[in-house]
Amino acid sequence: MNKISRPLELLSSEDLTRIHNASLQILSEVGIRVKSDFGRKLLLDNGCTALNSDFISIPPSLVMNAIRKNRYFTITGRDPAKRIDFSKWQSFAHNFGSVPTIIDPDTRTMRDAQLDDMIDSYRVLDKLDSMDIIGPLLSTVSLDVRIAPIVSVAATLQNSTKPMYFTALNRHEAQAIVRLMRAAAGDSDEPNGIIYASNISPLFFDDDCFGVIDEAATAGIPLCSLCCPTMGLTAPMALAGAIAQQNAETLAFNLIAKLISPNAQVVYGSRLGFANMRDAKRMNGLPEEGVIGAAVAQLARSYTMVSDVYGTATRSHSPYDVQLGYEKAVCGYPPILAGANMISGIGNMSSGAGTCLESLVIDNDIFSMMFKGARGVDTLEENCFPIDVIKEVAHENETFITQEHTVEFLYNDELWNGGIGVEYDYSTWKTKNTPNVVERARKKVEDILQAQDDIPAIPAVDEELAKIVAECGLTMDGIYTKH
Amino acid sequence: MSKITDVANAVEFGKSKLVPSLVQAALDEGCAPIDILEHGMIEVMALVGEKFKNNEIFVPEMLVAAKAMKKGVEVLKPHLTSGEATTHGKVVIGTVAGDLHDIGKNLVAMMIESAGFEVIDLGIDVPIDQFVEAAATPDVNIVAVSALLTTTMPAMQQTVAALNGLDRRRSFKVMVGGAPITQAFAEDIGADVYTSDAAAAAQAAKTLMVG
Repeated sequence: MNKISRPLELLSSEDLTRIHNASLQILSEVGIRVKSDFGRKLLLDNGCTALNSDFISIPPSLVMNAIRKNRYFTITGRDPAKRIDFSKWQSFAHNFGSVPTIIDPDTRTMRDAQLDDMIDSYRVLDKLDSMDIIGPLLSTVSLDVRIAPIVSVAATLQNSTKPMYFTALNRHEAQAIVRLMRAAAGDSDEPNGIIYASNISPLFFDDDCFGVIDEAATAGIPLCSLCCPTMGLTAPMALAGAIAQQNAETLAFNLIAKLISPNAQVVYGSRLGFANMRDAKRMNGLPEEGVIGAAVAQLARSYTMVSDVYGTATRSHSPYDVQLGYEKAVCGYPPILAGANMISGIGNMSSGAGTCLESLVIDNDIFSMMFKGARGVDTLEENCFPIDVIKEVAHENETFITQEHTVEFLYNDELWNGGIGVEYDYSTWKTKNTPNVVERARKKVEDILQAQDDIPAIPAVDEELAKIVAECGLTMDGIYTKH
Repeated sequence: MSKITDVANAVEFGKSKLVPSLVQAALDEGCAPIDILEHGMIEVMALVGEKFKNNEIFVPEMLVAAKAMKKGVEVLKPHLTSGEATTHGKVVIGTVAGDLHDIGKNLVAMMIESAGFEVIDLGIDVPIDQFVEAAATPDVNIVAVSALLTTTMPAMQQTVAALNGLDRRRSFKVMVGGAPITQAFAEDIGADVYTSDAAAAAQAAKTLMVG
């Protein structure tokens, strides 16, 4: 599944060294800004030095010691067959997250996402073959803002059989997420997902970020350093410089996690992006996004870290828009070819501000094709050089289409097969009045949602959620309002 | 009957190298040649064609089955009485003058043959006169004309025009096909049937003869 034959190397070893050295220089000379008593004490007690009341210098030796502790790890889902081992040469796709609006299937216009949309999205995501890790796709204004992220986490756990990811904004959220993840995992010791935390670029780690790292690392749940600098706004405009700054932030995050728990697992999460310099709003979909993803895949590998990068993202607002297709392919393919471990973007539209259920199915197809392409050419496969067949066809004036070898390899996944795209020639397409790709995607969504194969609820998750809601002074009945 | 079942299974899954020996074994056991043909091959090919129509299998699977049947028929033929080997009729097939492409034409020939027709393959770069001469033969039921190139489409048009001028035109049907050919072009030049692939051609031939 999603095997990478030979990762593309965008950066030379000299490039990698230059970026790494620049990152070490940033951490020691510029330092990181720490607004956390806990964090400040942690770093100063372990060999860092204060540059002033805010900034702390991190010596290269500490960064390198933390890197040496990095190991690949595994996560599992409720379905053990969907377990992920990051030590293998494979890429895994996950959905985009926290999208506030969705295209209504009936009116075809964007509206605020509701709780039902959230549940539907999980059910669809769980059934898509190329979708490996699930996180909360939608954020909804229908939920009480004090508890909304936690309800989303519970809903994800209840409606997915795959490994998961969750974002925590502060220690309180991280504690609740850890409790819910443990409730879902039951007796299993293997983590059932990853908790994401973000520092604030450039180089700022506040108490909320330290709190999340502390809770997840102590609980033995893998963390993802979801670093989100924006070129020209919160990172330098130069690609190399922006990557070096993001790398510095990620290495600092990794150090903090390792100081809390030497066995902490940290994913190199790259969300380095850019803004439309006509309005300074952040956007997705430019080719540099794919380049950054490919570079980060290589950097992460050099640190024995799992990478998580942008993939199929786009500025397009409609699944009917050809821009959606080409931007997703251009941005998604380079990191996959470079061997990125986790690739985001399923469901991304409007630079992450919108989505629709059809786009999940379309993106599943795009990922499936890209994963197949990344497998490359297998020159060791049995019968891959069928000299006897070539001889028979050439000498007996036959064609390969009538050979058993052709059928054997056809079923051996030699050519990508499947998907929802139109595959017929023009006249057949015209004659059959074939539905377009969005209509086909809609049909697949409807088939999934109409199927009576709901994933069984986990009572322990409901019980834990009810406790958390009560601790917040709320009631389960009062947290949802339809808008 | 089990020997015929063995033949049927081998044909269905395109075991060309196995089928001749299985047919021989069925004959040695005393199975009637016509039963081997009907139940071990033609019925199986109908099933394979149905699966293809329903998108359950791919073109190569259908063609390896047709090829396996052909290998079996070669063993069977000396044991069949005249006319037994072909149940639906006689088809003349060829690629038009100036066109040297034969893969598509060969696939159509193979599929039509496996559907129970006798096939007279005129080959490639076939002059109009040769098509006309073959079509004038009294027992020919279908003339199938192939062209791969846009540059040889006029030759197809001229060939069909010549066939349409024959006295016995009402006694045979003209089928056309090839990558650049469309339903509209087929109608324009006066052909009876256009099909887009080999399986559809075999099905159309059966429909023309059997209904």
